[in-house]
Amino acid sequence: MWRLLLIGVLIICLAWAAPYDPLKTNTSNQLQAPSAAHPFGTDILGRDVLSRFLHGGQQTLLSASAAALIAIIPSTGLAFVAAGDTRLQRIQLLILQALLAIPNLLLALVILTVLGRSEVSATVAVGLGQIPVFTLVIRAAILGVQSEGYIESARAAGANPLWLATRHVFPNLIPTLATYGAVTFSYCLMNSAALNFLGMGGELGKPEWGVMLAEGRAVFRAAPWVALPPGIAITALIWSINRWAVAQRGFR
Amino acid sequence: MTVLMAAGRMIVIIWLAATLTFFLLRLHPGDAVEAQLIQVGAASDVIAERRSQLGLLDPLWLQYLRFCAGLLQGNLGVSLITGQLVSEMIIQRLPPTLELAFSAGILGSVLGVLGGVGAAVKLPYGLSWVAKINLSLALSVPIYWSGTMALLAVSYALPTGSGAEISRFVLPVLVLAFHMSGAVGQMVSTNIRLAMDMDFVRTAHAKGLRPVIILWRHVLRLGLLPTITVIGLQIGFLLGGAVIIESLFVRAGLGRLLLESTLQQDYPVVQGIVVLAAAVYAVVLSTCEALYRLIDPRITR
Repeated sequence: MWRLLLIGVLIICLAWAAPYDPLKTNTSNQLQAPSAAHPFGTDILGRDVLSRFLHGGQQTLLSASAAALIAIIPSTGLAFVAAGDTRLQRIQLLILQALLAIPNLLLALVILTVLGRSEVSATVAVGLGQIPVFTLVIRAAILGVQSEGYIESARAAGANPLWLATRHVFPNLIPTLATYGAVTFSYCLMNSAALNFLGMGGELGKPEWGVMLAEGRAVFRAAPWVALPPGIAITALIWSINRWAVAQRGFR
Repeated sequence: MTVLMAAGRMIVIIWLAATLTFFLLRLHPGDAVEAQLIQVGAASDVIAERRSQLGLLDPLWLQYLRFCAGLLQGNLGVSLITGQLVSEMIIQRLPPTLELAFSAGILGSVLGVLGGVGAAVKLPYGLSWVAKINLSLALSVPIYWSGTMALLAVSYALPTGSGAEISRFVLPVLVLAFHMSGAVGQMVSTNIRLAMDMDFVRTAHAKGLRPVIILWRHVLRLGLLPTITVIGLQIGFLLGGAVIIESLFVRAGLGRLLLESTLQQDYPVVQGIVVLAAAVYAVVLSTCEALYRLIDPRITR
């Protein structure tokens, strides 16, 4: 996990090492193949792909992290609030199931329809779209912990619910939160790049991996170096997060 | 009795999903009529007239009641932009999406089951490794990226102009099926590995049954059972994937319509498509669960 976090921080910090301005166009320098001056080549507007890739990494990771937090914090809260009361729990379950019936990306699009197209609303939409699933996972984990014997004995000993929740239940949820939080992050990464790819992420032409993929797709045959770095980077990140999460669950 | 209860729950879920979508979309301060007419430079009384025509000035509860009544009659309202019936627009755009989702769903399920079994058991010639790597790739490659790569591969392999049919139908189906096979395959291989650890499988080994027979008769039967539900769950993925695939491969389907309507903030259309998607999802999932109960002898009816 620390290794994954380190890679993330590294990608975010590397934006400051970009050799050129990611937005600076240069019409006399379009679609140059990789060279010493431009290690990843240039795109259709003559912008340096390496610089765009590095800045895009920062942008993409930051908005995916923000989206993941928007998903994780309210979900955990909701699951805890409902855990105290069975009636509330049943109502919550029904609403969650209804929200789950709306496919993830479609829910994000509904939220985008309301908020309008911008970078912030894309992030919020992606994060909110993950809340139903995440709440259900945490709910299941809380139910699992609640059925343990020590909770029952603590309750019998007269511990108040708040004490139980913070002292006994929450610490036992941390592994689930970490593992499933990482998985949620990878969904957020995939979905926010998808929305940007579809042109829903606000200003066009900003350095972001999804936007770069869309730009690179148009010129892929002539200049594959534009779309390759962000495509490979997204895949590699999601691959490593998945592998780590699977290892945590104890399979393989 | 259980069938009736399951059907009732399904209807409640569809209704709740529709209600949530309705109110979520009403949170929007302005609306498409205003945005569109202001752009054309219409006077404020024209805007007001258009809005009252569409019933947007009525109180929210009345709009909601009208929405519910319409829903029962299969009337999803009219588009704010074109004034066309939403149900008509949906029916017009449905066939390409249906074709895509259906073909990809079947192919993806088959590939997923084969891949999942392949990843869980030991196969000769490194086939298990191939299956494992395929599984991880299907789960971690973004769909818009693999779609782009597939388009590129075809454009290199075929002379320009001849691959139109392939890139319009075969390729989107293959890409969507590949990604669906990832989720299905992971579930299958997990379940099969769990089944292989069961006591009765160890007993079968101990009494000297051949591994192929154990796999066929004991492991697969137990391990493949939950697959039905997993495949049902993938409907949501197929519908979401269709949005991306249709935009990537330029197919005039429902996903494209949804995307266009989102960009124009034409919320009756967004609402119609999302409610339809939720209904399809709920129906398919309940059917899968019912089938699962029917097949699994351990669940008493």
